Amino acid sequence: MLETIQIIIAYILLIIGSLFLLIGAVGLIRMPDVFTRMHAVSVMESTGASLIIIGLIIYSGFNSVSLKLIVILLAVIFISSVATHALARACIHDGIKPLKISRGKEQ
Amino acid sequence: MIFNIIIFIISIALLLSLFRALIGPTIFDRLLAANIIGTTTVLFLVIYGFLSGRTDFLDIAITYILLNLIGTFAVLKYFRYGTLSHGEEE
Amino acid sequence: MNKSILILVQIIILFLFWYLLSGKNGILLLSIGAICSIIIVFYLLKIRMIDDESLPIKILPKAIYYWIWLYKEMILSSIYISKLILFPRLNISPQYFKIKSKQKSTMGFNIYANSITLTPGTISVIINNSNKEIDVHSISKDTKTSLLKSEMDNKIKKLMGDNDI
Repeated sequence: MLETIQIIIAYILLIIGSLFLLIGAVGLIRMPDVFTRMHAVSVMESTGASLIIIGLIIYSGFNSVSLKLIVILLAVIFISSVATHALARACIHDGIKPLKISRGKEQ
Repeated sequence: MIFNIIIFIISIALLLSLFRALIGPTIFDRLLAANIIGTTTVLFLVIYGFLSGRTDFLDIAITYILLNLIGTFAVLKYFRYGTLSHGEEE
Repeated sequence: MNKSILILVQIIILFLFWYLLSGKNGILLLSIGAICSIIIVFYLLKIRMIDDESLPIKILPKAIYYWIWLYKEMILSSIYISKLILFPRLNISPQYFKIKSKQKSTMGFNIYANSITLTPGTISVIINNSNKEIDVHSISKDTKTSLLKSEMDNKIKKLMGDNDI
C-alpha cells in the first residue's frame, strides 16, 4: 500500500516536471529577446529539472542511487543560477540592450 | 511505460532547444540554447538509466553536468576577454 | 570557526563522496580514498581555499528552512511564467532596474543575488558589492513589485544573523 502511494507521487512529480520542461522549451521559441528567453530557460532548469529529479528520488527510495541523485540535484540548481548570471552579464558587456515593450494592461 | 512518455517529452524539448540554437540571432542565444541542451541531456541520461535498469548512467550524468559548466564558462570567458589564458580587463 | 574542525569536515565530505562514487567496501579502495582526500585537502590549504566562506557549516541548519521557502517561491513563479508563455497574446513587459539590498555581509549579498537569479522571472545582471546594489531584469511588472516588497531580503537577513562572513 505504502509502496503504491510512493510510486504514484513519483509519477505525478515526473509528469509535472516534464510538462514544465516542455513549456520552457516553447517559451524559448516564442520569446522575442535574449533576456526574456533566459526567463523561459530558468523555468526549465530550476523547476522542471528539480521536479523530475525529486520524483526519481522518491521513486528509488533511500539507497546509493538516491544519494547520487541528490548530488545531481544540488549541482543542477547551483550551476544553473551561476551560469545564467554569467550569461546575462556577458550580454550587457557586449552591448545588447534589454528590449522595452509595454502592452497589455499597463498601456 | 511512464518513463517512455517522459523520454518522449524530453526529446521534444531537446528538439525545440536545438531549433533555437540553429536560428538564434545572436551568439548568446545559441549559447543559452547549448546550456539548456546540456542540462536536458543530463535529465535524459538519468531517466534512461532508470528505464534500462542500469544505474551506472548516474555517474556519466554527474560527469556531464560538470563538463557542461566548464564549457559554458570557457566560451563566456573567451567572449569577455578575447583569450582563455588569463582574465585581464582590456 | 576553528580551522582544524573545518579541515576535518572537508576530509570527511571528500571521503564520503569517494565512497558514494565507488560503492565498494574493500579495505584497499577505502584506504586509497582516504589518502586521496588528505592529499586534496593539503593542496586546498596551500592555495588557501579552506575558510568560513567555502564551508559555511554555521548557517547550514538554518539554510535548509530557507531552501524550502525558496523552493516554494520557485514553484509559484514558475506557474506564473508558464501562464505568460502559454497565453496566446504574449503579455510581457520587460523591466530593467536597480535594487538596493540590506545585507551587511558579502555572503548574504551573494545568497540574495543567486536567489534572485534562481527564481524564474527575475535575473540579477550586474552585482556591485561595494554599495550592495543589483541590476535586475524582470519579465513583467508583477515580478518587479513582488521583488520590491523585499520579503526575500528580510529572510536572508534573518538567516545570516550576526555572522559576518
